[in-house]
Amino acid sequence: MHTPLHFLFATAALLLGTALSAQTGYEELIRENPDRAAGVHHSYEYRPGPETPVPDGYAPFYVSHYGRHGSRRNIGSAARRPWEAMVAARDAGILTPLGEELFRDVDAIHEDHIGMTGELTARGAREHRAIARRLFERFPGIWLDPARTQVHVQSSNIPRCLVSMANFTASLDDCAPRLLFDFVTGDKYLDLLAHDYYDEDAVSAGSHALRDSMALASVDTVRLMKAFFIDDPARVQAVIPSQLEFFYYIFLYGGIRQCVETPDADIFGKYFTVDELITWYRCYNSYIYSEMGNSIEFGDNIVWAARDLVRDIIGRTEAALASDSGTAADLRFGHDSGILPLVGLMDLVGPGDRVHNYDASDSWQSFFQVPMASNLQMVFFRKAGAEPLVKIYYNEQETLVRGLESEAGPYYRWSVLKAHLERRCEQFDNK
Amino acid sequence: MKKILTLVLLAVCSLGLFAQEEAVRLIAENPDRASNNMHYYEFAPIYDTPAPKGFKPFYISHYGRHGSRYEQNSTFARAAQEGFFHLDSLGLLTEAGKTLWAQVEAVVAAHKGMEGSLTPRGAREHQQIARRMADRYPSVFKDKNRQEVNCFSSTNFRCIVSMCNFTYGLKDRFPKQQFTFTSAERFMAYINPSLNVPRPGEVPPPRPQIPAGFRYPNQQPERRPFTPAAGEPGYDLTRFLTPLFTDLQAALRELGNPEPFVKAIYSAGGLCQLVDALSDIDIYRTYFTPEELTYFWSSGNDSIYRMWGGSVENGDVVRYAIRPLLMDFVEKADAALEPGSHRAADLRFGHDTSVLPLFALLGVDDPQHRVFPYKEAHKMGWYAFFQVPMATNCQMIFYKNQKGEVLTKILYNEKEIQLPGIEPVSGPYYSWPALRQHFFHLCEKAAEPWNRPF
Repeated sequence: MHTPLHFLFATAALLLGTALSAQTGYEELIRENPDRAAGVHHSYEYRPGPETPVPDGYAPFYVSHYGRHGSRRNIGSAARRPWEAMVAARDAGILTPLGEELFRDVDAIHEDHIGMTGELTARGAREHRAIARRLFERFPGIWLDPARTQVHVQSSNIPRCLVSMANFTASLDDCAPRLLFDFVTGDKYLDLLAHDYYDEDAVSAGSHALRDSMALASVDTVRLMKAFFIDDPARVQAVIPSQLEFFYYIFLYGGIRQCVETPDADIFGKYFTVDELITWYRCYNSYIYSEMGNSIEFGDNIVWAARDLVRDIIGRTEAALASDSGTAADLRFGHDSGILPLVGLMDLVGPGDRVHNYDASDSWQSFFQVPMASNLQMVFFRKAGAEPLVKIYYNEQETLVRGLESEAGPYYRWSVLKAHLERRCEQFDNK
Repeated sequence: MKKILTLVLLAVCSLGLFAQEEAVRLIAENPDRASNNMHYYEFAPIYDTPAPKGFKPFYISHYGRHGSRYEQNSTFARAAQEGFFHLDSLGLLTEAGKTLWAQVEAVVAAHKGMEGSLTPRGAREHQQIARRMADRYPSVFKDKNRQEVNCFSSTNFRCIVSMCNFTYGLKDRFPKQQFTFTSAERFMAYINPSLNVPRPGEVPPPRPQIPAGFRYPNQQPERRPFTPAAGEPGYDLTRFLTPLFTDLQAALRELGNPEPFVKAIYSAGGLCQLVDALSDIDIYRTYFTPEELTYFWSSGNDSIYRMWGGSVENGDVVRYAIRPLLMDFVEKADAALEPGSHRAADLRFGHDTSVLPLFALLGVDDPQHRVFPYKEAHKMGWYAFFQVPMATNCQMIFYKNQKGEVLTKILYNEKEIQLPGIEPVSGPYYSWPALRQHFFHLCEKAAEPWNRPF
């Protein structure tokens, strides 16, 4: 294969970029922006990467996309427990003045959660609108082609995904009013877009145990306990039986603050030192990676779940490649627990990396790999008489497939990528 | 006196008989109507009474039920599935019986994994209602100072997808509108308030709690030993059943009371109209007579009137419970009327369980503004298929003149209506301050007997 020089440079730049971001340690990245410690709850950061020129004569014509819902509120016990604990502590009269201040901040965040648990925030809506607008601006030709106006949209049936879908598509429609959207949702689509893992209970139990043991070994709660609570161990113990659990929930509240946009309640900035955030992050990041990523320990169980989704991507792509197809895009709206298995099964360099779950933070950062609104965009290019090419963007950065030979830079022949995806599905079919 | 009483009774009876005949006629005209609130949205030509001179529409406040949807479970035809399976094992099904069985199974299969979702027909209904709204009142959306359209949806996915389709219908006509989308439990207090309001002295039943870690069982019907149904049918189903079985008497011995079996087929039949993929299957027209459909329709019709309409028995509860929704119309209109407001429309997407109560509170759930015992509904010419089909909607259109006077017109399924208890300025146009006052009065009146906190 003859590879033009600029593609060699592009590939080198991509690999260098990947290597550099892997080398820039999580500690430094969190010092640069402490909100990153929130990991999977981190709001979407748009970080433009290199744009390798499209090979001569090729034009973009179709996109296959998967987007996690945008910034949201906390869910389940994470929405409730920090506030309940702080109310109990205040009622028991065990808070210091700083503890009272923490109570007010927790209360402000809780206020935003009342009747809104798990829902998309205004920031989440803006994230999806912005991603859609950039997708339009990067490839206007796809959306303005009068022969391809149909956009098929599949969503999880959870409201935050559906409202993300509404914002994303409204923004696309603002740019290209001729588009015709066809929305589908239902249990069937939740099952397709975020399928349960193989032996999910074992994955979950193992990941929780990892998080708890790492926290037990590394988190020191002494400074914060002294800061928030009066010096009366028996009374404090009665209200806060597990200090680690208490601070874990406060950490989760601090993490979600950037999503709900309550600027005065900056729990990370006001109470935690960056070193404390880094310590918590390391435990949390390992947990997220173990729970949803392609880890050595559980990766097989997890990526197994994405086979139908990968086959849906292949099937819809094949249909869209037909010359008489009117489809401009297939859009999907789902969850972190759907997109990470997908990129793991696709074996993407970066988000799909496989390491030990305990060591995740050495090379895999959830704040970059699976923040709110994480997205996968597969952009297809065609040229008369030639085979279609496809380029993969993960979180809007060009991304490579591990070990797969490309045609040029990040551009893969569709037949090559398709064969790889089919192979990966078959590999896990008989698990 | 006796004579007068007899005459009145005769008149009521003949009215009932007439209404019954009318129901059969309407169902014969379109058998799909027999599915009650599962009927698709029928759009009839509309007419706009010209607004008083100098008044132009500038703001719309809207509530729409989700459009045509799949049934919320896939067990709706279980009695038919089990009956067919059992009778087939005994060799009692004719070819016609086997065909109908296959059709019922196809309706069930189409529902697997799609329970409760909006269908493509439901999507089209919302797009079309939105386009008609845009075409009827373009000045609302052309105003450069009013470009905001705020959308609030029930957290249910079929409502959110209805919202998306509605907004695309509007965007087709006016792409520049700025939409915001909101859906959360917090707003359900007015989008879909609970009708489970205890009367004085009653203790409300506890809310069902889902235990932690509970998983819904697979809805695949279990194959249970077949047992004949108890009781007697309320209608002679011989004509319906005869072609299905090689030996009707033997089949009836197995089925026992055949009504649950036939009712399950009726339930499956009502769903064909909603799902494009089932357009080749027409159980209502192929197997039922309008009279048989009317029999199954009537009890469902009455029950819908009791649950969500202004019936003698339950109307007070319904009107009381829905006040937050009417007050939301007032609150949002007040905000839209503030100087400097950029709001063109407030759109809400919800359920039949709220839109019919809203019309009941306004006193228009019955076209003739009547209130009657619920069991009379089908005899009184009250038709759920017209009053609360899929995509049922309430639109309040606000007009103003150069002096800043505001008039409001209310549309029920896009048709102009007049309200009881308040005089319009002309035709269907009401003075907004007077109407606003009337809304408060309705809410106060609805709260009166119980005097409970709002």
